[in-house]
Amino acid sequence: MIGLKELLMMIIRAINYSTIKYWLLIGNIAGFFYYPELITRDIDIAVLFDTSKDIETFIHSLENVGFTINHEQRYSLMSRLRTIITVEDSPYYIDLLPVVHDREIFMDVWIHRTEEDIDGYKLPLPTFEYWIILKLYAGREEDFVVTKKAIQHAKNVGIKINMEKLQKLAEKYGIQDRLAKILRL
Amino acid sequence: MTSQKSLSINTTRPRKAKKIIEKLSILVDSGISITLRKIMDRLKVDEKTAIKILRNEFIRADSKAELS
Repeated sequence: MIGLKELLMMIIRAINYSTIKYWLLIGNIAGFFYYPELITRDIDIAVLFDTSKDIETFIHSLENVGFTINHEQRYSLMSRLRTIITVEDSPYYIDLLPVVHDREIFMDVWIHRTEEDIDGYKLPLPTFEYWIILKLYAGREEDFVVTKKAIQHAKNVGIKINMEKLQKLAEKYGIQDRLAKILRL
Repeated sequence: MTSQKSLSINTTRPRKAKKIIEKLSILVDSGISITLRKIMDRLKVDEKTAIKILRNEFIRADSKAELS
């Protein structure tokens, strides 16, 4: 079985070998860095395909590192649509989310990202505040509970959260009500 | 006190990415392996088939959650 780490390394390698410049590991794997009770089955990647070359080199890199990209996935990627990428021996999957409409928030998160090095490859992640904002922006009810728990966990272990920044970001993206909701849950 | 201080320095910056990813993977993979064995036993299928069944279920459940 190909485990979660191995699959993550495959996609990180593929992106690093391509011409893609703007991408982020988001979702629960990114959240695990701040709230280690999160469990996940998928690897959420947000990617901005700046040029068609980004897509072409990415597809090529995916195949080079061991993914099999079928016609449907290729079309989906070329059309900048959400694409599920799998490998036969892994129960996990990659949820690839091309940035089309939400470019402003994506670039905001990317500019303020934190970049880690994993086996010599770049791994860009949202900061905790931006991770919270992305969860709230997505607007899924179950994410609100997770976000609330993550904030509580951070407080319990003494990790400071910049609440002022959170409030400002929530205002900027029109999700003050969602932030207020999780703060009083 | 010292550990609290070092944690607060961490604030919003993840560290030791490799170790964190390894920890997550160990946690998740061990649970998934048990589920895979159960699927293999109950449905009398090989590992490859069990992986496919489980992955499809994950994808289905996730897309349902996105729609709801």
